Amino acid sequence: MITTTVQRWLGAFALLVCIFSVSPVLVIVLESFTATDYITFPPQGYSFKWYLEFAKRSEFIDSAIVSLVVALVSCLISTLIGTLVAIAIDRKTFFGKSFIQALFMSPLSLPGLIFGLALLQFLAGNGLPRNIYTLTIAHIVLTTPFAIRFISVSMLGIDPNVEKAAKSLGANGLRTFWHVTLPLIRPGIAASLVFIFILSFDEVAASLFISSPNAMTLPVRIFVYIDQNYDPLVTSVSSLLVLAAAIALSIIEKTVGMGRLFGLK
Amino acid sequence: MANVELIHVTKKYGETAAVSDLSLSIAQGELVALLGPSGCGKTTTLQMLAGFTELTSGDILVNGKSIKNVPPHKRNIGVVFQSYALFPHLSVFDNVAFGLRMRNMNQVDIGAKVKRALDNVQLSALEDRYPKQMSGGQQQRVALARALVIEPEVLLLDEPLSNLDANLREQMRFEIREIQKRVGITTVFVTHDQSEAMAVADRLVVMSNGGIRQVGTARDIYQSPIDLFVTQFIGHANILNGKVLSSQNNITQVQLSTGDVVQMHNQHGFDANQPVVLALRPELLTITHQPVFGNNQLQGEIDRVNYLGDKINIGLNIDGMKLTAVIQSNQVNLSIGNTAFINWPVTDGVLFLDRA
Repeated sequence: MITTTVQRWLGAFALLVCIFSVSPVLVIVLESFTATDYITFPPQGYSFKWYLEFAKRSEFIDSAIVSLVVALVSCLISTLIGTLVAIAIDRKTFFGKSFIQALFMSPLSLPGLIFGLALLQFLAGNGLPRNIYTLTIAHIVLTTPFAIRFISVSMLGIDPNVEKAAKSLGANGLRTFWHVTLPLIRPGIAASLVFIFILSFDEVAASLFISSPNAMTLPVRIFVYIDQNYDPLVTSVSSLLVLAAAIALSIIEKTVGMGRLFGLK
Repeated sequence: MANVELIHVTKKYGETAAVSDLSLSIAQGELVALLGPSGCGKTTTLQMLAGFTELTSGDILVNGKSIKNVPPHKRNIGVVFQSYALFPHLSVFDNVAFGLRMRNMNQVDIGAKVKRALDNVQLSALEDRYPKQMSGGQQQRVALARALVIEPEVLLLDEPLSNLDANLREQMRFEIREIQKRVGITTVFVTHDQSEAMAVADRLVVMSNGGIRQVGTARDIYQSPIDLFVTQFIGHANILNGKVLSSQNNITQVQLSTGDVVQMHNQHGFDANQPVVLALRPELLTITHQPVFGNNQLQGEIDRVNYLGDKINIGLNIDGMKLTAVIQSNQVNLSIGNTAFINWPVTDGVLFLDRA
């Protein structure tokens, strides 16, 4: 039994964790309204000038679009590949299965920086361009292991007899997948899409090497910018990202519900 | 409806055979129970019938036609699984309608057929429920309705009752039997529970080590088990060790390990000095205070009396050899420590060669 006292302490602890994780974000948001030309906390004077500055800087907007496109395409393609690989690994037996499994998981074992460096060498060595396509491919390679994990976990929750039952009732392989397997792994697919979108959108280490002036993701743009400048522009960019995330999450909560999306309810 | 023929069916995994050279014919409308301990090959046989496992060799015929190369979704065989395997994301109605939708039937016919199928298992009030909102027994009935609604040629039941609690299990035995008779469908019932198999099946197929040990009605197998394995697997039996003294003119004399000599009639193929085991069902034994002429009898001491309501289960010690007898409650007044005679007719009991 959990007593009321313990419950209270747990509540206080949870609150502390929330404050701890939200307060840095809050600091950034407050700083973005500063009237000064440097980043400071608490902000001095209030103004929207750094938001106006952002609107004038087309390279930040271009980077935001690059990041969005890369994240969107890579979450879709990674989840598709992840679903196919997870099904093959969980339901089939074939020669070299464990090798394939290890191969698909290998990007997880490399630090992002090393992976980025290797990719840069590979692209340069083969005379391949650094553009939005190669950037997207890199993100797909990096995020596919996560998609495989997400889908595999949902596959484990399915009684294999359910698929056999569908077959005995007259459903061929494709219809069994469509009417039985797919609806049952939907929470895993949803989790994979959301998580990989965020993972790709946030990725810095590998993207740093393969971004180029014509295709630079937003985190890399921010990273490069604060390397050379110390003005509050980055705080307004970050605040807009926080706002976008908040809007996206509340739409999901209102329409589907987070719990249902991840199969918790 | 269909008759099923298994012809020299063999399934090997690498070098080990899960099922070897199994042949069996099942008549139209018959309910056959595949019975045996785990690992005897009964489930593998069922999986091959359903098409989930390929045969290594042999063939399976339904109505005389080979289904060896027919994929499971084209076999028209209904399966009820031990875990029920209902579709958790679909309502009861949609679960039952699944097979009909896969046959591209129109909505009106589907509605009517699903209603009838649910009526058949007395669940029509629950068609909007989801599987996890139902009890094990209800899920079991949905699984049965779902398998039957497609009007399959053969019905396969894989340990369908083993996840239910004891009372419900007994009730569902008779319910399944009744539905099966009403529909008249050829059915294969896989179980490791001999009393379940006896209660439900027209014929029992006792299996071990991937092969058939004995096929017959419950009565045949219980009264005339073919070997010691079947004797001990179907019901209880006292196993007495001994050796043959003489065997002629239909009468076999056996000396038990206690030194007592008993007579057995209608036991054939034994020669003097062969080591044998004598199997005696506990309910064939009677207990008396005085010797009874013409019966086999052993004198011993009662060391256990368990009152079971309709019966009494009695343990006896005959010079160190333990015997169990099950007698009707009203027979004799017996208590622990009493000396008594255990009697059985010379025509009862079965004799086997002791291979051990």
